[in-house]
Amino acid sequence: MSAHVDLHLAAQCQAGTPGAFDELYRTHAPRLFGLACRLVGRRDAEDLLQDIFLTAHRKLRLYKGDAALGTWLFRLATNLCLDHLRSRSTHAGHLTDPLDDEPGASPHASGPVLGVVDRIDLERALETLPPGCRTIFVLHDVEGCEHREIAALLGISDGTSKSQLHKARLRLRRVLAPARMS
Amino acid sequence: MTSCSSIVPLLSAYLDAELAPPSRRVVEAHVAACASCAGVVRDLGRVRDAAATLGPMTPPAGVWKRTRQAIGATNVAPTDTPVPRRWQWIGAAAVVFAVVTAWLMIPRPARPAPDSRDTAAFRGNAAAADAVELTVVTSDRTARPYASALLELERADMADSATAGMAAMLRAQFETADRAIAASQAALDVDPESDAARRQLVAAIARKRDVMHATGQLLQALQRIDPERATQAAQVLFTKG
Repeated sequence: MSAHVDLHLAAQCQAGTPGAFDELYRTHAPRLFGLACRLVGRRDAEDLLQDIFLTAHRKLRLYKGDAALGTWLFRLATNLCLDHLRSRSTHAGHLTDPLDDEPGASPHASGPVLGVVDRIDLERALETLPPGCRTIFVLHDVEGCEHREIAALLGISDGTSKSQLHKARLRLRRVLAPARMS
Repeated sequence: MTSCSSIVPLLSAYLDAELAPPSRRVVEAHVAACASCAGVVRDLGRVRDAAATLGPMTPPAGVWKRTRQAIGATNVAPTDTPVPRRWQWIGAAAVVFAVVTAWLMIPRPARPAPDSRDTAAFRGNAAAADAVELTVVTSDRTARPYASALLELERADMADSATAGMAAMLRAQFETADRAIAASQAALDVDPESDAARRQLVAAIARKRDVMHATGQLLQALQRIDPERATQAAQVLFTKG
């Protein structure tokens, strides 16, 4: 969507043009709901999605068109999800997990242990990840964010983002192939 | 040959082509010679590739309905002084009457602990803080009649001067809380990411809520001393905005 179209839609939403905010929601809610579900869990995602769009409604006047409207919404949603996770965190607001040796890292198996990874299995496996590395995995591998951007969002170093991602992938490998890895 | 334990931590970066050339060559050589590490690389790639296919998720229809209703509630700014149609005000007055009646007729429990969302907001939970802000908007419509009722208590020819004095103090507290809320909201308008402003807003909201509680308790206490005055003060809540 071009910047001009984004600004026009944002302006219409601010002006309360009938249907404008509906369009904004219809266009962007599915992606943001997916993000929220994978970051905070399905149970909290519905309320968080509502908060995301209420916040968007309130802060739309701050949108200047320097980024795509979808990107602006994504950043807003990510921050709200991270705030939600921090409020639940037992690590004084930190969103990284201890970098213990991941059992799956020990490559006892000779060769690959995973077949084609089913999406439903992966969604379920995601829920088993600790919040810190799950956040980074979702932002990097699901949403396509770069480590630099993730590091800025979470207040961590690029190196920490990379190591947490690696940890998440190893854990998912283990969860997705438990029989052969045991 | 390098050990697997030194290579495995590098495999994600290798998979994502993020290693510097010297490190990449070392890992490549190891993976070519080690079936286990080669298997890890392949599996990590499958996990990564599967993640990229995870797409949007359709939210339940009720979420949009609730969001629209909440947006409708926030469209009236706190400083607005709408003139409600009679039937709307009767409905709102009925709610307020039910609340005040409960306070007058039912022993009040101890004041509840701070709302967990306020606590969350203190920790920088933007979602909770925004939800609390929504409460401010709606509670301001409820709070304004309390402030008016307190004004009436001050002005009335009260036998209990202490009550009038307390009413004046509570009314001043209302005004102080409203100024603090306005200042915090203005600060957030300038810097929406300001944790300090958000904390100040939550604190101001909590203070206003406390004043509302205290007002209810004052009316309850007045009920025992002067039931007629208490009823008159409660009626102010229905007729003044």
